[in-house]
Amino acid sequence: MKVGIDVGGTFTDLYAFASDGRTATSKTPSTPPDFADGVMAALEAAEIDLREVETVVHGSTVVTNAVIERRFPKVAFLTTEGFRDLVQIGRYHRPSLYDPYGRKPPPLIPRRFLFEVPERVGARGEVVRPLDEPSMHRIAAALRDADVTSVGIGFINAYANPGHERSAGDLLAEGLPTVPVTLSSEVSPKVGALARFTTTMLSTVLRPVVGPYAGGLADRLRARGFDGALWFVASSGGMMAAAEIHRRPEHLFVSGPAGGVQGAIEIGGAIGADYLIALDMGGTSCDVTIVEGGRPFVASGYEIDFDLPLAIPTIDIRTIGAGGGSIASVDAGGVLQVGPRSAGAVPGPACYARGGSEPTVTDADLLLGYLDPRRFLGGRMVLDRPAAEAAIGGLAERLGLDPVETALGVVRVVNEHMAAAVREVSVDRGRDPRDYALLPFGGAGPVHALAIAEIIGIPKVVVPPLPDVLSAFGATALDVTHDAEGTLYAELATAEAAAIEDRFLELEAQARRALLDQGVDPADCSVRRVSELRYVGQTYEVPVDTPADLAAVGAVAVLQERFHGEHASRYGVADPESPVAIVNLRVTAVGATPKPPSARPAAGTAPGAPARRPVLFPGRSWRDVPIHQRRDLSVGASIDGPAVIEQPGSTVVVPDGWTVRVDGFANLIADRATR
Amino acid sequence: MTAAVQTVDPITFAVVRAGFDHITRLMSTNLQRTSYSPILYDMVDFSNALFDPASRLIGQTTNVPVHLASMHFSVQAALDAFPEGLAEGDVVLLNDPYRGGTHIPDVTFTMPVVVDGETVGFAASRGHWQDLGGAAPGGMVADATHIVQEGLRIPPVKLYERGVLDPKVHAILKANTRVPHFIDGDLRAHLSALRTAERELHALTARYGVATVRACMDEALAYTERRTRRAILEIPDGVYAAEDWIDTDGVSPDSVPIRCTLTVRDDEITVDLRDSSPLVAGPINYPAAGSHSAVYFALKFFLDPDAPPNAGMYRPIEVLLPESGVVNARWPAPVFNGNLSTSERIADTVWQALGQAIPDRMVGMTYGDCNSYSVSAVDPATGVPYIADDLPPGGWGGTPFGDGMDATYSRHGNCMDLTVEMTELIYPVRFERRELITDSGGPGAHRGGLGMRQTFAPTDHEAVCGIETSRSKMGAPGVQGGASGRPGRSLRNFGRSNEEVLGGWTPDGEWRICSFSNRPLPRGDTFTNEAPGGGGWGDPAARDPGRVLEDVLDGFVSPEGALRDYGVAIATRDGVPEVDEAATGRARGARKGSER
Repeated sequence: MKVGIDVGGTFTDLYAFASDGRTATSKTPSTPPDFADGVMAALEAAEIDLREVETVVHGSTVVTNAVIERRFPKVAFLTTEGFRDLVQIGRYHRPSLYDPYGRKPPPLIPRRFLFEVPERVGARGEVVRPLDEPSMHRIAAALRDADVTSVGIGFINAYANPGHERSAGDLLAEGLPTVPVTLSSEVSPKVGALARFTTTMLSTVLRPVVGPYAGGLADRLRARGFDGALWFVASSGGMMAAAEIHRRPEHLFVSGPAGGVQGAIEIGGAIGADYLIALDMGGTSCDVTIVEGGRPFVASGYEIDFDLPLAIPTIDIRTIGAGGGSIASVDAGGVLQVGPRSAGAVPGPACYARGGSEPTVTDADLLLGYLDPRRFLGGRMVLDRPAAEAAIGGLAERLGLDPVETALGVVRVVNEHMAAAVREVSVDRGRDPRDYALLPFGGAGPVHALAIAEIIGIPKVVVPPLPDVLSAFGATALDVTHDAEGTLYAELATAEAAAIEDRFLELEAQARRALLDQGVDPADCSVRRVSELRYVGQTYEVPVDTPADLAAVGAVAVLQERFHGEHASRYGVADPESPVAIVNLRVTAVGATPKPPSARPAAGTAPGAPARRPVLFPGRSWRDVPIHQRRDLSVGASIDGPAVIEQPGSTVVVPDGWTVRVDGFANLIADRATR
Repeated sequence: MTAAVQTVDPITFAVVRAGFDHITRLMSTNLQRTSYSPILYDMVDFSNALFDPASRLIGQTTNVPVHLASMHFSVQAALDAFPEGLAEGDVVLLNDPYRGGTHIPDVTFTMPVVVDGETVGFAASRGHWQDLGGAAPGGMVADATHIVQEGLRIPPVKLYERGVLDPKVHAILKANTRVPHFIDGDLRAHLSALRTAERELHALTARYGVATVRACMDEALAYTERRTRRAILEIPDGVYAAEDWIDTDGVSPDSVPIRCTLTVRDDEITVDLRDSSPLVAGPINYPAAGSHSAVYFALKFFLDPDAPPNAGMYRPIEVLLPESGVVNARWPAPVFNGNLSTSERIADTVWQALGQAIPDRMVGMTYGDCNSYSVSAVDPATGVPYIADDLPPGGWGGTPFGDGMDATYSRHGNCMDLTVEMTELIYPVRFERRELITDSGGPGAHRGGLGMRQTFAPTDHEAVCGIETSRSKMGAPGVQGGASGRPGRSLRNFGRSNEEVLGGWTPDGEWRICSFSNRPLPRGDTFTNEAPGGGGWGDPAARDPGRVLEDVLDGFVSPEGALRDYGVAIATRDGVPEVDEAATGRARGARKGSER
């Protein structure tokens, strides 16, 4: 059996499948600060017998929370003399343009634990100043006295020559044999000290946090008879063995959303929809990702906090503060705003009756008839309609509108925010969103998805069978991946193709080796290559899929052509006359794993006439619309909007002009009537 | 105050107005990612904006506050130059500081957006170009006395006519720069931004109709105006005056005064700069477009920072300038550093005047400059000329809520750094240090932020260096009893036996003119800038000794500085620094005594 577990800030979701086709799911509360309690509870709720489980894949926000709160053990970071403040200084800019009281995020490691080492390497790898060994011995002694539990090293230009970092690491290991040492040249051997050092610092602070968590969880699983392998969901959209995540915990930072994106890819792949926009709308935020050819966009530069960029590849996700708990308010100019402030799960929307009194998106959804107050979260919570009315009513007074108009306004505004995020991930990259299918998930995603698609002109929406546990489902579908990267700066016109090819082959060997070390069968391994290119003079690179043998005749020309094409589609301009430079190389090795079975629709108990309730859509008047239960719908069932389709954990709202049918994989496929 | 006439429903307005923000943001993303010169792509010294058919600012990306109002002057100048109107595909180029520009390197492109034959607005894109000639690299001639020394002055001309590039204009541009290889790429980047605006505005009008989009433009102005007026109402009525100085005009060592009288009445503000210095010989004179911008961006921090930046903010604010003066440059006065030093000093006087009206909300002054420096030469390996320039930032002032930000770009912009490793990869230069300066933050109950020290050297070849800076005589003032930040300096061969102060105070107490250009940097020498610290907030003797100790542990304050500036004695017990309570009590007691 293979089990996927997604630990979120509010809920821990589980999905499991066995080779004989059995599946199980559960949704239980998360249990900070020890999230492992919640994991064990989720397994219990789904009645999983751990003796039967070969694989557990774990996605988690554990790391994200530790970073947000800066809750770390005592660690140190060593850098080139003169550059102790490079990360704190960052890129000079400020987070908020007109704020006289501006603050920057606190450092990952306090300045008193940053040490300078006399040494210097030049941009071409030449040694400008030798590593000063006596200084290293002094620092090692000081670190021993201070009882640091983890040390990172980041030297200027170490991507071009890691020699000094390695020597310094060896010297530390002599003096501090039990303390893990992290080198920037191993974390990410790419040009760009700020991102490389930040990532190294992140790795350094997380090593003493993640190791015990992963080890402790593994022990608890084994105590219940688990004899399989524990894996973690990595930020780049693959999974990594627990032993690997001990060494490279920085890859857990965007672990949460990566599972959901893979779930979307899996659902889309089964029905031949490889071009998707995945939209995960939960309680506080909405994550939007674009998928092409069955793969998400992957980029470096993800900021863990303002001006703290990561150098490692991360799924390119746009997150906005729009969720069911987003608070609606009236600003100083008298205009309706929704979010980014959220009521979260506690106190939650007014209708949760847990002490929240501010109007939220969920309150508006309730008043418009989109949600059934008795069936929310599968009936585990009864929504308080009068509380929602009071909250929205107060807002309506301030706007001078009636409460119903106000509720419609809240929904329109939040839908526009999400539509803007969809445009950003697509149009900003030169992609036309209308060529993609929208795949909503999270509890609130299907409530709003068709209206969002309507705004953008997306003609097709795919609602997966279990939208509220899609991230856990996706975790069971992940492949093992390893990214090997390097900088090789050369102008393509004059570069030796053989030299670039050699470098790619080195990276391929390195990436394959990493997979084999994690127990992947060589027969399941494949690799793909990406080059980051730019016009000479630019410093922003465009990632381009790269042919397998660059030394072959014409291969470099193919690469160059692809770059011009990608540049034109992203930015609207390209210049085939301008020289092109290669900057970074990336090889991703992929180890394939067993995939979850496609869901099959229930036989469908031929229902009697569906229930009805009054529902209001923008630009329409109140109408009694049919309320279907998803479990009653069999393959080929077709429902015309306006309608509402309910299932435990989510609700699909179908406006006029849309037709929803059930496909052979239990998805709801919504098509907009051509007009 | 009357309620604005709403011609669109508030929900549609919220949606369309968000669309304006989206368009300008997308323009900037594309400009940044496609431009070739580091000052655009790394330092983000550019702005993009949308204007309505009456050339009123509707929306602007928020990279560079000093462009806040001055873009409007540029678009107006472009329209005035072609009274017959602009056609679809026309792009007007200009940088003339006396006709809508600010200084020579700021090049502005204006293009009409036409839907079904009707002009629905204008897209404008402005970037700081690295070099358009002049007597020093980048046109930054610290002791210039005539505008012609600052480079190619371009009146409004059509670079594109109905989509066709004018080869004559293009050839003149390429012939007047030290870095001709950047010109085509940067032109393309601006064009990409303008085309983005055109495409997106077409999409917006296709969805909502031209009439609705136009109505939303009007309402956007009214909306920002309402928010601005509401914020002004919270400031007590009165007349407040302040004075501050620019260290030098670059020619003479004399300080140049900026004087501001700020009058608040109900929901309107008048800022009178007419008592400021007359025109000066050197290049700190500032065109009217810029002086307006400086007043607007300075006020915006304390009015409604989140109100969408558009022309609605101008309505309740009146700016009074002299016919001619350092705050209203006239031909042929040189202007390069006006956009940097003078804009910041205008902002300082506005803040200090405002501080009398709202003392509980005011903050210590920032380092108040741009600190633009450059090192340039011909790359000996390739024969290609290069200009490596950076804008090393200083500290922000302490605030009622906490310490000021360290090494963060000042108010007039939000530029980014020249990154260390990428710079060394593409230019024949090497960084020696980039660090915070201990004890540079203005002492206060809430300390000013620290300034940054950066040392930089060409690798084995000679070069010339230059810098513009203006807080090297007196530091950034503190407020509410806070002390000034440390003044800035420039040095050759910092930390070596042949160290030499190029600008600012020497160890012997001599002050050297802090802005200079074309200064030789012989082979093997290094150039160092020390950016000023921010001003403190509140009495330093009121700072919690525990926080002073933390600063000492992190090296932001030295043990000597702790005693001198804060009256906190740090003793070391078993190798661990701690507060010496008794000695601290005595030191702080003595301070109080001396105040009496």
